[in-house]
Amino acid sequence: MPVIALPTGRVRDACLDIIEGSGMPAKKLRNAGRNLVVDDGDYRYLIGKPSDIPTLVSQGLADLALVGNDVTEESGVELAELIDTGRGRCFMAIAGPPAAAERFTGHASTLMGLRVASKYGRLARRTFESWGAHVKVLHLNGSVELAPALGLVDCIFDIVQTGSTLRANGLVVLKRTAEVSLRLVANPGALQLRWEFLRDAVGAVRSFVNGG
Amino acid sequence: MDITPRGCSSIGGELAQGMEECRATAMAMFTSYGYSPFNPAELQLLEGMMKNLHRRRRGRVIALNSPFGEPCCLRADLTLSALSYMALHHAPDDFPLRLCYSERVFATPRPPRENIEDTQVGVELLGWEGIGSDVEVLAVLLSALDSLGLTESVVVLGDVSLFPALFADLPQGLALKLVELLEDGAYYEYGKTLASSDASERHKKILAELPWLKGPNEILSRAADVFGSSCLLEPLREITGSLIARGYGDRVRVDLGFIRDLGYYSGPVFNVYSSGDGSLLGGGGRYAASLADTRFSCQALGFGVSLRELALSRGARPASPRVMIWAGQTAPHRALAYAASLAEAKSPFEISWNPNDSESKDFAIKRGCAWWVNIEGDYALELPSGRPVAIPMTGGAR
Repeated sequence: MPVIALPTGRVRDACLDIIEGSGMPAKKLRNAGRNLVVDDGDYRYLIGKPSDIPTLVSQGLADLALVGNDVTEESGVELAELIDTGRGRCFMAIAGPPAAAERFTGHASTLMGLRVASKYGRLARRTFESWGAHVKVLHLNGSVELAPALGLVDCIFDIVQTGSTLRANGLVVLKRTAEVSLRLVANPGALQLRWEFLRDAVGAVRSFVNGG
Repeated sequence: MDITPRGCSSIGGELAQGMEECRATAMAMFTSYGYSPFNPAELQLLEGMMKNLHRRRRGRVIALNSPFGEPCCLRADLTLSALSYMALHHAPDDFPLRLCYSERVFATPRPPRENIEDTQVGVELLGWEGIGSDVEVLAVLLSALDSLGLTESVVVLGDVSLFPALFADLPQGLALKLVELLEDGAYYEYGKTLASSDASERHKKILAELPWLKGPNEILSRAADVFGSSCLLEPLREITGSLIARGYGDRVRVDLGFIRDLGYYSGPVFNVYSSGDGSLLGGGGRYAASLADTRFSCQALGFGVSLRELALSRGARPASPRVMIWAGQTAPHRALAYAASLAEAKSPFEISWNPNDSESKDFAIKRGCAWWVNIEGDYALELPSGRPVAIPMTGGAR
């Protein structure tokens, strides 16, 4: 039985739409309540916090998962990325007070020593390092937008959907760094050992997101 | 006092026992096939390591300076150690050379793992070009796994020589990019890059299918249809055919999109799993012995598997019933003579020097011993029931 891990939260509904639209059973999933393991037809679904999904897959508890590429990249876990579903679109960005914009228009040296708040510590560090800038990353688990207003940091590194939270806190996008969407990922071992059992599910998702 | 740093572990108890059983069984199997034990240095020169490892592995090497000021790293790879040893100690007329090892390797872990060290058992075979050597190495691996009771272990075979052949007509930059994407498991990006490239439609069709040609051995026929020829698939056909003839048909799979990330492989490669839904034990494959500046122009191949994963995959095994020899009221030389007779009979035992027989018995029960032996009284007690049984004493113990 293929095991698919699905995240709670912001992208939950988009995941359910993909599952349903791909012809996989989703009725019990929609009514899962507090159940974290749902057996429906020939599938088992594991429901977890988004940041735990890469671990569930890499540890072999799930064969496949729908999860944002922001989460998989932050986890650093080795997974196979099979499909970009195009759903749950948003982007990673550096945001801050408008006055900070000038620092992002010049040489990387202007970014040196910048204080950055993020719940994506690993990605933030990697992004700035790729520009040759060493920054101080402050890890926060939520309400990251608050940090610049309190003078704790110069800017934040976070996902942006509509930008309304940024605006509400007097922040603007200073630099857009990566596109984010829901991806269908797989455990590399499961692909090697059980591809014939996963092929149909992967094909169905591909067909659904390609509009076929 | 804890002197074990993060990322390292001192292993004891059942897991250590299990690992030792796996090591002894595997090494006995390897040596019976003519592989000589090899004990490599723990430090390796950094330059040679960085030159030969794959980009993904290079970033995980743990570098340090030796006390003599040489830039080194903790042993990041056993194949390169073995190859370097063979190059320095043997001439080509010694070929083929066969080495086996049970040693630690060190690397910065990839999340969610935290361990920086792992003990691997494996073999290297240098200087034989034919498919026979691929089959030999795989058969040695499967035989070792069988003798460890892992009779449902599965080997997944690929062939990295397919890529230069299939990508030959592509611009070099595109070919390298596609290989990197496959190595990273970025299948979606691979498909997108391929689709937007200037490759011919026929090329695109073949290369788009390549990562998905995975499954039981029969997938090779499908691959031959996709490629329009079976020439490129001959090595894998021969290897899988031989393994099937050896009775391993249901334990061999093929993955034509599979590239091992060690960087030096040049032919058939493989991963080995504990079962059809089990954990990755390790892997190996064929490589050019010219790497590591060995001045050898021949081919070599080998594999390494994690002892820890082997032991964990086997699970807890019932330990052989152990005998507690009570020596608390016996002259040490007599107790040790009796112990020697048990050792000769390969019966595991432990000596209790506690002068109090009752405490000694309790301790034997706590230890899970099957028998408690009173040499002076010429009897043994079956534990935990305490039922007495007569024991024959050896001449040496008397």
